[in-house]
Amino acid sequence: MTFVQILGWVQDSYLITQLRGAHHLVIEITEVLHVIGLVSFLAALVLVNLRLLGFGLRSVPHPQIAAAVAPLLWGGLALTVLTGTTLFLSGPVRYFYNSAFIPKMAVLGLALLVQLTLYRKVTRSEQVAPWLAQGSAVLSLSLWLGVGLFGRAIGYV
Amino acid sequence: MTLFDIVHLIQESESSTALRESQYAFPLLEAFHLLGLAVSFGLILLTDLRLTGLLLKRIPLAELLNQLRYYIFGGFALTFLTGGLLFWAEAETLYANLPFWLKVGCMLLACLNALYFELKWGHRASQWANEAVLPLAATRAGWISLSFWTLATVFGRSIPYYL
Repeated sequence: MTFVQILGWVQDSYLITQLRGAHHLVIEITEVLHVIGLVSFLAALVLVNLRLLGFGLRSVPHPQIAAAVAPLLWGGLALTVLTGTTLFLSGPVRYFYNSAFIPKMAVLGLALLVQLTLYRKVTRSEQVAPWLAQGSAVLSLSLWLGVGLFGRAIGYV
Repeated sequence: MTLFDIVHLIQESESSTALRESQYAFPLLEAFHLLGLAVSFGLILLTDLRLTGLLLKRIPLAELLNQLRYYIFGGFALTFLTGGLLFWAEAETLYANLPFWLKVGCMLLACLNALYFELKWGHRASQWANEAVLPLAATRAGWISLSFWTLATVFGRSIPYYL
């Protein structure tokens, strides 16, 4: 059984057929929540990265900023992933064959990996070499913006 | 000349048609509109969460207001510029779109609220923002901003469903 066959089976399952046949507001609200989650997550990320780059809030140690925005960061990410999964499940085969979808998932995987390893380490240490702080910020911003760009492209390719 | 005549003329113009039918320009504008939104609405959202006391209580508010101001302006410049071009490309279509008008209304209220807050409180944040209890007017401005920018985003994302 290939992966696409599994997706096809998911797509034709009772639950997913119900989701697709549901009122158009269901998918619409899911899309709206997906964007709200993304904006919340990116807002938290941008603030921490501005501090890591030395562009703002320099009087506050960066671990304190990272801790303060953590609820928004993880709450936003959870909402985005949850609604994103719902959107994907509404038509898994269609998304799988969308040429922007796989790149988006690849960049997302990489971004999450960096977020959970390097980023977590940097934002938790009081003393970080400036090059490491700035490098992590640039890497993190580029990867997450990449996720956003590929995501937006899904609607166009 | 009615408003409809104007949006009709815009949409019929050469530049509008070129933008609407472009393969890359239009999607890229939408992508940058989203990125601008993440910076402008994102940082406004953080400020609002701090003003309302929902989050970031340990981050000094005066610094947040004073230092994020230019990034917020920069983000909004990008969002408004890309948004304006997106409107230019589909002026007549958007004229008949209910979520579009609701979005414009929410944005207008949010901008007026921001302007009032900035002139009355924001520019002298260091005088009051580090008090333990914030002035009621500042907290209220935070709630208004939080509500209307969120609604503007909600209606904005709904535009394509009502075309």
